[in-house]
Amino acid sequence: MKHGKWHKRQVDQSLPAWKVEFLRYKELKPIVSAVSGRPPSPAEFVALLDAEIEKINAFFIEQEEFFIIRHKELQVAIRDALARKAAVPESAHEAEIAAIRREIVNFHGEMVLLLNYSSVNYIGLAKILKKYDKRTGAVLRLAVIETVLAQPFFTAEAVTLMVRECEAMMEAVFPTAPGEGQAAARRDREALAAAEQRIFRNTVAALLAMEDVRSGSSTRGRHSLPPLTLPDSEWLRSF
Amino acid sequence: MERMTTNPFYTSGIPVTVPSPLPSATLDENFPRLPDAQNVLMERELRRTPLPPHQSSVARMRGQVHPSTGSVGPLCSPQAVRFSSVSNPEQYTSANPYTSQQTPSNGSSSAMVYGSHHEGLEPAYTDLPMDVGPAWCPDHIMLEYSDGVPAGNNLTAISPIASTDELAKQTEWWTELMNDDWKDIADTTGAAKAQPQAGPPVQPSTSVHKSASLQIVPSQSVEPSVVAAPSPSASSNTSKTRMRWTPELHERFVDAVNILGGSEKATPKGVLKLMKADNLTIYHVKSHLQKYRTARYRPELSEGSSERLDASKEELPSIDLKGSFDLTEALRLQLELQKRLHEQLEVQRNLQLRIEEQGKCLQIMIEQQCKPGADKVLDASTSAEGSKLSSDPKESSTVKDVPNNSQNGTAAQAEPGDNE
Repeated sequence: MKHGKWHKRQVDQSLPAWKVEFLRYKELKPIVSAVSGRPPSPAEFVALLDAEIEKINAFFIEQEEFFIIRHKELQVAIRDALARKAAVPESAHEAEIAAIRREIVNFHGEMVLLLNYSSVNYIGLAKILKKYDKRTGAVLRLAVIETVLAQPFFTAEAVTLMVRECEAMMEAVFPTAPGEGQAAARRDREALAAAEQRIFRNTVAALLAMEDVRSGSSTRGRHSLPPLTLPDSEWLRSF
Repeated sequence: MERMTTNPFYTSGIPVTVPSPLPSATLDENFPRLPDAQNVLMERELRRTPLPPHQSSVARMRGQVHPSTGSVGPLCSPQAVRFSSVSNPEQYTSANPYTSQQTPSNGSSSAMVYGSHHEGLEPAYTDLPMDVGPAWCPDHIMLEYSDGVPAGNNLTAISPIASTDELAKQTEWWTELMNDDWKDIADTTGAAKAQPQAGPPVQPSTSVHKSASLQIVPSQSVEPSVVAAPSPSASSNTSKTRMRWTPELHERFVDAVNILGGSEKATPKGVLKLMKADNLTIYHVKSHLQKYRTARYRPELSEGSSERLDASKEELPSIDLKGSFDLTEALRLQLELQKRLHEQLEVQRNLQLRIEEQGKCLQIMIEQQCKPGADKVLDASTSAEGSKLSSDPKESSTVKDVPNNSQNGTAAQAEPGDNE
């Protein structure tokens, strides 16, 4: 499928608050590819992309800041819950732990979705640059994409690290527990459940979309990623 | 010059040895060099000037070449304003303004360019053929990905073994593509040289550092890192110093807040004073404190979780996950899925880095050919040419000299940049 369509699907399926933060591929493409009229000059185009990249970085960094705060809070919560274990009734402890588990998983999910956001934007930028070079014969692509590779939203070291730490946290907090906690008001639980489902759905969608965008294209070459076939994509699609 | 904490080119220190044949990117002295040419240097074209460029394998290559002379031109750096790649004029030979010279070629598939355009220089650098790529960086680096597969967890539905296969398949796909190209080159030129090559990729990392210096933010620093405004041409009235918080900085923040009696009691001014961090303004602290308070006391309001509030209004048909499994299992499943996505994203990101690295390597090699220092290369290759054309493919020490020269030239070039 055309990349514009893929990009749009990614955006539509993303967390609602994030939709406006994506690269505006749909707007950029006609600027580049318009058959009539002139494409922008390299300087103009770079300025356009700059603005987009700035926006993407700003959103990413702000989310990252939230994540850093949340990460620390989670660590503190785990530490406290484990410390209190002996002093509280088992059911209360279980409830705490269950809530923490849920929080870890959701937190992990949101961070991974942010990384997916970065990926979608990177791919969009790479594609639009390729189109531009093809259209105008310029050689912007390499230099621009180089700087993109260094952008905070792409390198994403802190978020990647936190994702891994989350996974480690899970190991610590996830022994096979006999029961589940019954804490949390019903409303909160439902809100959480819906959020979880959204995260879950988005994760499934993102995995499947990755498969789509890498299913082989007409213009595959040295700069293309290898095709991706997920072994259980059938199962994923059943959701 | 800021150094990036993560070197996108070398996440592992795998020494690059190349089992595949190195295309000697020698500039055959028969090729007239057009200093103003904006053609992509095609290694193949170099080697077979008199031959018409119509080869079936050529169609796979993108980018264009001036077919009549098979001439090569420097890969010109874009006149893009903001990128500090133009701050390395010594690296890129010319900053030819494309707009003045180009006959815009649009839409035509690269394949048909060959042999059909004589009137103009067709500046194009769409996707550089990666024929040269494997010479620098392929197999060993690709192999590292299989190691990156997470240790198998016992999961209900997802087998880690499957992902190992997947990763291997993906890397295999790419290496095959490269190896096929190599076969083509070998067939075309009638000469194949195996050339172990190590070292050159070190150079590109330097230039990446430089070219990316405008935007690099060392993220793990303890000091607050401020991301500069992106381009010189951006409006200078808004000094957009965007604060990038790191976990370490946040630790200091939390410590300061706790000293002051908690997030409710602490004031931005007090926190700022206690933190004693350069580049941190009270505005930054204020906004961070606000987020911090939100996270502690109203978690449903923080970050992207505005969706949490909307949750009840969403019409999402619920996946009856929690019904059939017990909650813990459902969470496990969700986590595993997320882990898979993360893993795929990581692999993809690494591949993207490698791909661009290849392009950079190639470009640098091309630049090398067009520099005055390439005279040495020419001399070396002249003597090599004779033996190359007449003899069977074999390791030739003269050919070895060529890449060494370019390597030295490359290394020499890197130094002035390092002193930046």
